Amino acid sequence: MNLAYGLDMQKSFDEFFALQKKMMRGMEVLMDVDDEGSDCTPKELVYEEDKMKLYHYKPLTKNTCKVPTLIVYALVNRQYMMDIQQDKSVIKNLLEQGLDLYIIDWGYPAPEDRYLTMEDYIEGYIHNTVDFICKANKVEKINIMGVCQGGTFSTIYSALHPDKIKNLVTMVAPIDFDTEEGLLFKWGKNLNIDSMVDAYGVIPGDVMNAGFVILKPFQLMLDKYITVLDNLDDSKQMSDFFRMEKWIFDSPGQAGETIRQFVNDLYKENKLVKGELMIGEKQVNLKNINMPLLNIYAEYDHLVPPSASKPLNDHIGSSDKEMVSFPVGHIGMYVSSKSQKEMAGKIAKWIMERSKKS
Amino acid sequence: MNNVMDQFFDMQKNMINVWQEAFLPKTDAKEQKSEKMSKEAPEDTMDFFTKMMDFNSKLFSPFNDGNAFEIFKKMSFGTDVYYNVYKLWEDLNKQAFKPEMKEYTEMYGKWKDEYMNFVKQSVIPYLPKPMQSFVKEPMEIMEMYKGFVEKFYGPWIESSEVLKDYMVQGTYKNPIAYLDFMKLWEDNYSKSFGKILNSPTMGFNKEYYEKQQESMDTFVKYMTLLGEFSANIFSVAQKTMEDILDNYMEMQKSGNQPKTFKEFYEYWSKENENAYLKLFNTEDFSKLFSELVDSSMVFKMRYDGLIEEYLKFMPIPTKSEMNSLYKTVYDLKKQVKDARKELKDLKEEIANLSDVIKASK
Repeated sequence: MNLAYGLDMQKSFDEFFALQKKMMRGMEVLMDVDDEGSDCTPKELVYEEDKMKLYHYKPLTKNTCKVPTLIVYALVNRQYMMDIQQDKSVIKNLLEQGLDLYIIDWGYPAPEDRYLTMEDYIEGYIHNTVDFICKANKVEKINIMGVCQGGTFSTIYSALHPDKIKNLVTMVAPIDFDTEEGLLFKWGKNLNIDSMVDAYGVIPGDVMNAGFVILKPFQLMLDKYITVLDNLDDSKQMSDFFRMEKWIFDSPGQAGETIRQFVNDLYKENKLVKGELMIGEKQVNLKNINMPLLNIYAEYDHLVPPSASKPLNDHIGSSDKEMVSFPVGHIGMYVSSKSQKEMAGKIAKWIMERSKKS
Repeated sequence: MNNVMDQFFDMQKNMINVWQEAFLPKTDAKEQKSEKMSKEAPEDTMDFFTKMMDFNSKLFSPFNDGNAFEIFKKMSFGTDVYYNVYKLWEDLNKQAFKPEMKEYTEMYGKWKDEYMNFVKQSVIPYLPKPMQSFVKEPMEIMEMYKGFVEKFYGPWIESSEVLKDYMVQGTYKNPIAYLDFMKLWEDNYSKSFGKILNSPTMGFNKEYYEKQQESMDTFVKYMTLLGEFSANIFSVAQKTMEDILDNYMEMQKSGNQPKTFKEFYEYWSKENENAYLKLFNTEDFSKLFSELVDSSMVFKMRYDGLIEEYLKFMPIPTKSEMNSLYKTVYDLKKQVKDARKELKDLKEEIANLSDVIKASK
């Protein structure tokens, strides 16, 4: 071993040249890299209101669940993370297990959407969507599955309209904001969201993204791009990487009045679990949630730490409630092989069993 | 086209191969080949590299005890030299040159007072009565002006030495001193120029001037906070690099150090990430970060307001005007949706009622 400054120079040079070769081969790979393939599971546009679109996925099994399930995604990223690519698609997995799925695409808010409130999203868009699905399927109740911020919205909706929801599934959903874990929760308490909303109206997606990447600056701004060099000559890996990269930075802006209330009432004052949250003129009482609940969280989530998701089970009125976790991070919940099959299988089985009950 | 690209890639590959040939140890076959090529060539390029490193270590050992990390340490603390030279000149200046600013000010004040007394006592009384006020009044105005200037620049003059010292310290010795510089600078600013920028204006262009001054003031405040924020970030970077080098030396003693460039990068990156997470998790940083974001937003709003003022006479809608329109559209849309829903409910109610009536018949 030839050590210089404690470094094995021969091994280092071996790595260096291997990397150079990879980069050369990578140039050819990058010329043909394919970042398409997201949001490809067949679906149909069945309802739209303003910029919101509701899609119905084509069933992949003969006998689908009689109670349809509505997926409500967060406003901060696009919903196709659930269908990022065919071999890692949560949606496809759920359809193969027999669920009848609908998904909301919130679209991209434009300057005229700055005045949209949480009430507009929950009592307007979600409520109208639920009504539409009930009518289209001739059912009184549907299942709702809320992801991240969509999980918070779904929880609030279920508390306001328990008569419309058969089963509630929340995934990595922030509920109890009074936690010291997770920088978003720490910084959110001091952030003056009012000046941000007043300055921007609709807060641009790029501003939101800058806030997200600074949470792990070296990992997300440097490491990620250094590590990708190791896979530069692997076209499959590079396609996967670019698909994710495209999704991460495909960030819609945030309707000002909605994010104002979300930060002030939830991040700062934790009103949801205190029973003080007002949606329009209605007070949200989590005890009204009397339907079965499946609460799923990621054990290494740096955006929505477990301590923010887990307390939901303690605050609701249901007797049938379950909590499941996976040893992954926030994004890993949808794309990691660890959680993929296992999680979809668990959700589908749980929903199917409870959807049979009258 | 393909041929050209293939040729390009082949050329790149060949270049890498040449590099590899040059640096990696030779296999027997390659060794024979290279012997044929040049009998004077070193047996192994790695041996050559090692010999070169040994030679360098011996050559520079009088300066660094043969320890590479000592050089890094000396480099990182080397900037102290600049600060010490500054202090040396500063002290020398104080010792060697008289009068100093304080003494000079006293001396000037004394001379000025005596001169004024002379004018008052020995010149003014001998002037014709109507002429006396032409000399007396400007003297009083001058006194008042001097008083104002002293009050306005007072904080800057009083703290100039300290400010200078903080600045040099922050640049060459310790980034934290830059924070003290920024705090003192901001304090002086808010006592002097900040007051002017925030004072009301008058006249035809009142609003325009006020917006201009406000946006300048908010920009200064934003830049001040950005400086404080950057100093925090930089001081962590410096401290972490020092810690990394110290730890690396310790690890090297036990042979547990990262062994390749890649391993070292991974170690460096992880240590930095942890150091920044530690900083980010402090309440002070959280507050500073939100103050920085807030000040940038306040500046944006003031600056946008100023731009709108510039555009007032142009035939284009401004953001504020558009916002007013958006609000109207939003409210109207909401009313339409509510009315439509009400209508739908009423229709359903009527349909249900007519079903009941039909059934009862």
